[in-house]
Amino acid sequence: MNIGVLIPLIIFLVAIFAIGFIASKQMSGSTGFLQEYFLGGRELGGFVLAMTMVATYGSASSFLGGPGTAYTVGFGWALLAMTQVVTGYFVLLVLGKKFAILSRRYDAVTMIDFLKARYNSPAVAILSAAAIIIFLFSAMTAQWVGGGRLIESLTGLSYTSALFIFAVSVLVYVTIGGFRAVALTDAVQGAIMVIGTLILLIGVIIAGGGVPAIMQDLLNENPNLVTPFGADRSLTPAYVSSFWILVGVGVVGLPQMVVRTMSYKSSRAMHRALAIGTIVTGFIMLNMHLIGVFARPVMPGIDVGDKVIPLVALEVLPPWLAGIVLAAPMAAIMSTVDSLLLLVSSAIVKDVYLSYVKPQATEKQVKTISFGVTGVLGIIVFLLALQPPDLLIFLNLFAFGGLEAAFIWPIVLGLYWKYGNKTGALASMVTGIGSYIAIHFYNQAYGDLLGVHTVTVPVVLSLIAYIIGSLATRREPFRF
Amino acid sequence: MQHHQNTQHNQPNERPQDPRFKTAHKEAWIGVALAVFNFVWWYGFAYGLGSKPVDEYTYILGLPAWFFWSCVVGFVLMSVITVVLAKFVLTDMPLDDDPAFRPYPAPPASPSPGSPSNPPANPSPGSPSNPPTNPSPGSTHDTNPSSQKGPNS
Repeated sequence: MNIGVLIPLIIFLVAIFAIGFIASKQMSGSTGFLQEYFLGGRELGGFVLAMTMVATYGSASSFLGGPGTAYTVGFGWALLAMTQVVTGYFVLLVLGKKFAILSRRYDAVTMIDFLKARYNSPAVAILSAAAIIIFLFSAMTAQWVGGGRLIESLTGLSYTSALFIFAVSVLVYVTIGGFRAVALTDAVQGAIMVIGTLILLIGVIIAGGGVPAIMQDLLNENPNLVTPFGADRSLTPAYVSSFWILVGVGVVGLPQMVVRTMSYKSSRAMHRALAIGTIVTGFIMLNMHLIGVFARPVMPGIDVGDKVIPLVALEVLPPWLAGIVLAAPMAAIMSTVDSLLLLVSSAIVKDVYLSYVKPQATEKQVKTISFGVTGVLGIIVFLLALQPPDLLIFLNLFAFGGLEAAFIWPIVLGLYWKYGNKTGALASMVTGIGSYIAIHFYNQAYGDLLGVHTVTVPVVLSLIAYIIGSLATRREPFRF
Repeated sequence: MQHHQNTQHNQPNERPQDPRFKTAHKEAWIGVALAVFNFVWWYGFAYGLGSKPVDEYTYILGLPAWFFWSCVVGFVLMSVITVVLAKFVLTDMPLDDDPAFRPYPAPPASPSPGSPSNPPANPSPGSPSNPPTNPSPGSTHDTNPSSQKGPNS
């Protein structure tokens, strides 16, 4: 395809590569390899913390799937997307300092370390590790497919070679650099997302002849596009509001977010991060989904939602600028993938291997195993992504919702309710995942239960299960 | 499992709860309250103004008024609130484990092989076991300008 588009993308890849490499050199031995590799030695400052949270959370669906849906559905989907602003402050405030203090007290490197210390139960730890490995593996594969498709559509390379380029660039820096490399590249990728969305929004508004003109075009085509109810008036307030759980407050149960709330170096870093995170999340989500809506009159007739953003960028911007803008969804995908890869690796190395296979491994063995597992995982995901499952946004949300329903209460109530115990946690996790899967298939067959997103009912059920499970067994307060 | 403390109950000498947790609990509730406020604002303007017939819509900066108030102003407002929170409301505190408030003599997690041995009994020599909510004279909370300037990224 166009060389002008490719040059900024190549520069981006090289820069990310370089940053990851430099970060890997910074790994000091001061806090021990595991803390360093999987948690960056708990040294993140406010800006990097905010950016790694936003970038990990903002994925292919925020940059390709979401705006694509906004293109089809109109302002109703932009309204829905803005439920995500809450993630910027909610996760950090609610887990907050108590979680930061306790994860230091328990010497926790992964979310499961915390659950283990809190519930003192191998069953909880094993079930959590299995849930993380299964669900995040599928989420990761979906993201890799997105990354490969994006490179394919931008470069005209075959899907396989596009995926290969993507896989190699991510794998190298994650494997050698660990969490610090992931967080630092996330910060750069987050900055690129902010700049990219702003440029593209301006480009689309100019191409559409200004916002009032675009609005007139939308009204002429279908007035429902400018209502909160969607093009065919199928978006009910209850359904849209239920996304407050899925992509809003429920995010507090996602392991990739939880692990970040134990990685900051000071309370001041956390304060800064929650302000920066809110601003950056809102800015990106607002811009991206407005771009999706505004793109409709500018470029009518796009069938595949995921192609809206790439096609619009190439249409309304000069090639080199389109290249910079299209680095943004690439950055979003990479920054999500790298975090998931490392998280799944930590679940295998720390929570399975070191806990149950070989607790007495030496530092050198731990190092070899960590690098090895991360690398091999990446290769497996690459091979799986070669035969891609189709619905990107679907798989991604499935993994999200399932993990949220599983972990939100064991984490949050485990932190704040001293009577919560392992029976409650187990009941909550099993109920959450089980009912999520059941209701998912029910909704597919009969339409949304109660008119809300799949995640809603399982989150409520898992809360009930947690409380009943905890109160039904020994009622002794836990001392933190 | 076997390396975990099993004797967490009926410990004879109860230790006081870490005073930092009180502040932490308060701040977690702030987070919940903020999310509730955010939701009400978002929902109220979106469906309050947006449920009118499209012919009666008004537009601000070209955007439908319901969207402008719910999502654009709502977002700007939340940004301002979080900045104010970060600068003036939330309390600075050390996050290191303070052995004085541990419920047990030793941390319940086993030392991981990759990390060096357990954290030393007293993490930093300069901070004995005084109540850690007040870490240093210059950084209590609120309105102290000197505690807000330091860049810490």
